[in-house]
Amino acid sequence: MISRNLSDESLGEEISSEQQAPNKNRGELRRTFQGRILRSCIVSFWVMFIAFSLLRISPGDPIRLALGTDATEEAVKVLREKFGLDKPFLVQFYDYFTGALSGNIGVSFFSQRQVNEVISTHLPVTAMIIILSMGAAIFISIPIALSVALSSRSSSKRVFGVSTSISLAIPGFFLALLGLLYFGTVLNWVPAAGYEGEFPKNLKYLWLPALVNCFSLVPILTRVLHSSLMDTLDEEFVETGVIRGVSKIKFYWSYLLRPSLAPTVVLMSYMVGVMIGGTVVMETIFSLPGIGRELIQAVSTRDYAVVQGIILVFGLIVVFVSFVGDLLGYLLDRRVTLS
Amino acid sequence: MTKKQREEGKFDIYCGLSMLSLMLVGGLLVPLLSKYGANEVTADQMMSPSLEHFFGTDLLGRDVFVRVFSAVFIDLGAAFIGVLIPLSVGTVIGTLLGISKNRRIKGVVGSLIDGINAFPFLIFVIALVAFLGAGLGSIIVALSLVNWARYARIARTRAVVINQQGYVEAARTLGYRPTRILFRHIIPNVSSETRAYALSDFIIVIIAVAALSFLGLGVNPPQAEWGGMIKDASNIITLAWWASVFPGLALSWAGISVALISEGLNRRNREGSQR
Amino acid sequence: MSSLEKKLLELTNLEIGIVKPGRKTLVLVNQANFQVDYGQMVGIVGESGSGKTMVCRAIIGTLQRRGVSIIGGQVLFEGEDLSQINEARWKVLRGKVIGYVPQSALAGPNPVLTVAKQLAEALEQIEGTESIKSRSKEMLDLVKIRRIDTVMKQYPYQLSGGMRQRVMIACALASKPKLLIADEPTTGLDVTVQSQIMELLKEIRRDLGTAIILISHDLALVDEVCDKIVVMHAGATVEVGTTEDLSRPRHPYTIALNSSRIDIAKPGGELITIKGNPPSVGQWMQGCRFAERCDYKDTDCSVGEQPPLFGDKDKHQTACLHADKIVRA
Ligand SMILES: Nc1ncnc2c1ncn2[C@@H]1O[C@H](COP(=O)(O)OP(=O)(O)O)[C@@H](O)[C@H]1O
Ligand code: SF4
Ligand SMILES: [Mg+2]
Repeated sequence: MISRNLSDESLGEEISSEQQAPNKNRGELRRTFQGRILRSCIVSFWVMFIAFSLLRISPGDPIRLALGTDATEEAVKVLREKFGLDKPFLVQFYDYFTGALSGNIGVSFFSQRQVNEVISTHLPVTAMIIILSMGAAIFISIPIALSVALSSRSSSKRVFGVSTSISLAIPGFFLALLGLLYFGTVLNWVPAAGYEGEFPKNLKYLWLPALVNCFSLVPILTRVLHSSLMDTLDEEFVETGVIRGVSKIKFYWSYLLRPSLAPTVVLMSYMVGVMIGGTVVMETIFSLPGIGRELIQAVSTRDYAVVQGIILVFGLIVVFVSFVGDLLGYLLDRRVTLS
Repeated sequence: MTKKQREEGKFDIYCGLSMLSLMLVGGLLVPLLSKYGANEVTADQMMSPSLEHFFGTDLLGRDVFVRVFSAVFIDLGAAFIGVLIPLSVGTVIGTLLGISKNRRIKGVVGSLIDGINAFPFLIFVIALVAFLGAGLGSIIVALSLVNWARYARIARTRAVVINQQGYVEAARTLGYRPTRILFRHIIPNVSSETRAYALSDFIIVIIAVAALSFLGLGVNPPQAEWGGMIKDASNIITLAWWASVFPGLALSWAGISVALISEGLNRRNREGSQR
Repeated sequence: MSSLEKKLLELTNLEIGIVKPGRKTLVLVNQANFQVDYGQMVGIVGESGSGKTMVCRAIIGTLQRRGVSIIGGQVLFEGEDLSQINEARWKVLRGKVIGYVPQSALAGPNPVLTVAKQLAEALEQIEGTESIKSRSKEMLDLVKIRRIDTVMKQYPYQLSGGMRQRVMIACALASKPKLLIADEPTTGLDVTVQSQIMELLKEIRRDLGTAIILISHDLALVDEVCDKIVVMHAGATVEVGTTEDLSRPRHPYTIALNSSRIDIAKPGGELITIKGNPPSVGQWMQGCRFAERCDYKDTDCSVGEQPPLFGDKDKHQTACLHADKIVRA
């Protein structure tokens, strides 16, 4: 009984120190959060500066290029003044920066459209393609990664390694073209032209571009998920799941997938940038009214104000999404450290 | 390295290397030996593949087989230079940043690197090419301006580690000049990492070069280039699939060959680190 | 009680290895021999890599998922050979009749589940759903966790190592097992927490009558709490006996373990240090696997197989050809 009392006493100590642990965690969470926000702000500042500089430091005079060689001096001068290009560089940047903070990122060179209006009309289509691609990719990746990780045959890992790297090496725009030829022309599963914006109807137009995006997304996702699953499989707690005899579904979900998810979520957020690139090409091939097609059009008509605005928004989106991804990964699994 | 390790991944590497050499030899010989020129217009328009024209002819009656192989050095060369420049620049800048003691420079350049990396790769290259004007030269400049930051990030992390390693310390105490230490000891070790990344980056870049041409921002016609050929023939794909499919296959072939080499080397390294 | 009724678990020449078609079988453990009686507390001691965890996994039936299997010998649990039973039968025994606290306290609990959920999982196949909550609290109380309601809602990362280990023990005891296996339950915990956990295990044995196998690489720790000690070296049991017996060790390895103990009695406990390293798996030499590190070896020691345990079961057994001489010396 003496030993019991003794142990109870020191136990009390252990427990009282234990009760502080959550507080310590909360403080740590706040500090990480603040640090990450600060970094995102600095990076966003650079993103703005780079987007801004593009227009000012390009080798030719963008206005002259935009208007073509037969533009009059007068017209060039008017437009220069209108876009503030005659002011000193830093003044221009100050104007641009404060404008951007209040949501004004410029006006098209040729039409009277606000660039942020152009973006808000076309962003939903691009976002939809990206969300669909990611959703489909997760759906495809999980069973593949799981079955390869659980397979004891070394040949399955080999096939997995080679097929993922080959799949990454096939250009998406080529696949899209083949897909369009087969599913569009031969099978008639994809409408040849047009677009409908409402949710279930737009799937008819978007499923193929999303599927093509998956060809580059799935290999990367499965690889990360697979290696993360392999790490999890080595953990002792997986043993506990087997011993407790939990159901198969619960075992796969709570003991394998959820503990392995954090790196995948962080990666997904980084992949958004890659997806945006792929989606621009898809929109052009499938004639979908997203920002990507708008960008290509602006590039070909030399509407530099629109080009600048679009890349600014994409840059900021990527910064934001990777911030959210890091944070989500951190919350999902506190063992992940923010890099 | 043990024998087992060298065996590991050997098959992939040889496969990749032979695929690549086959393509390079084709790129060298086919334009020389063929009776058609790459830009030679014939009366046989949109002919399907035959013994006369192995890959058929395009809308203008140009021989697709010859054009596909004439493009080998353009596409591979552009991608090669588009990887080499950012690889060298990024490695040097990243290394200097990693070993630099000036916190202000480290902070500013470090966040600039993050800022550049924040832009979606292809979008940023497209925008830069838009400002620089279409063409192969602009593509290479744009690729370099964008991609050095990715190499710099890898190099910076690695350099921090290398800089603290014993042999660097030893060289320092022996009184070697800092530049000598940098180029003899630090950069070679950092670059082993960036070079490994360059191989997988090559695949991304070669696809990007073709994609830019496909979007009309690349090589000026009539120069044969895979992305441009695919674009030109994509309108007639239902009538003459061969005019766009063969350049696409060539592009995939190039990508896969490098992917196999990269996969083989990775397997070899992984196997090595397990022992 | 006759000796048959007393006996809960008996390992006879257990052999564990990795069998791959087309490759030489890699033997991880062979000649593992010992018994555990009902309600007995048995310690298994040996350096890291000596196969202690493999033996545990053979008893709890989780070797398969790592591609490892039992390739010889017997594991008799209440007269039933565990090396022969199928998965359906394992579902009944594993985690129910035999409880297991896995190696490493910090990584034991599932990081994504709250304490309440983990306990519920351990309980749900035994209890009705309505009683799970009250039974969970009872279990936490049993392992002396205070502020049960708070702890129930917490995730493992919010708990200290000692608390995590208590939760793991609570989960393992949920089904009132006849045998509890605790694999290095105190490694990585600081000394005061270590002794609390040991105290807890002792009380569980006393109050619930559960037989306990306690794995450790620290002979001193096992010596304090166990009735019986099994010493393992390079995949084989080299000495088995009561705690009393082992205070007069006969195997040179145990003697070395024992003497290296004295030097490390200071708090913060160092790992056992004995000259040389144990032979690696797959590189066991002919004859006695301790020969290269042994001060008593002669030419007989390096021929044939690893010496078997000499002596009667239930008595002090030693796997050394020269045990008699050594004791006299
Ligand atoms: N999958 C495996 N392949 C090869 N060797 C293994 C494998 N799993 C375990 N081993 C080896 O088996 C031996 C026994 O391991 P273990 O039972 O964990 O030792 P202990 O628990 O006593 O530290 C170790 O030497 C380890 O290297
Ligand atoms: S059998 Fe020989 S080598 Fe082995 S422990 Fe005994 S004396 Fe030493
Ligand atoms: Mg162990």
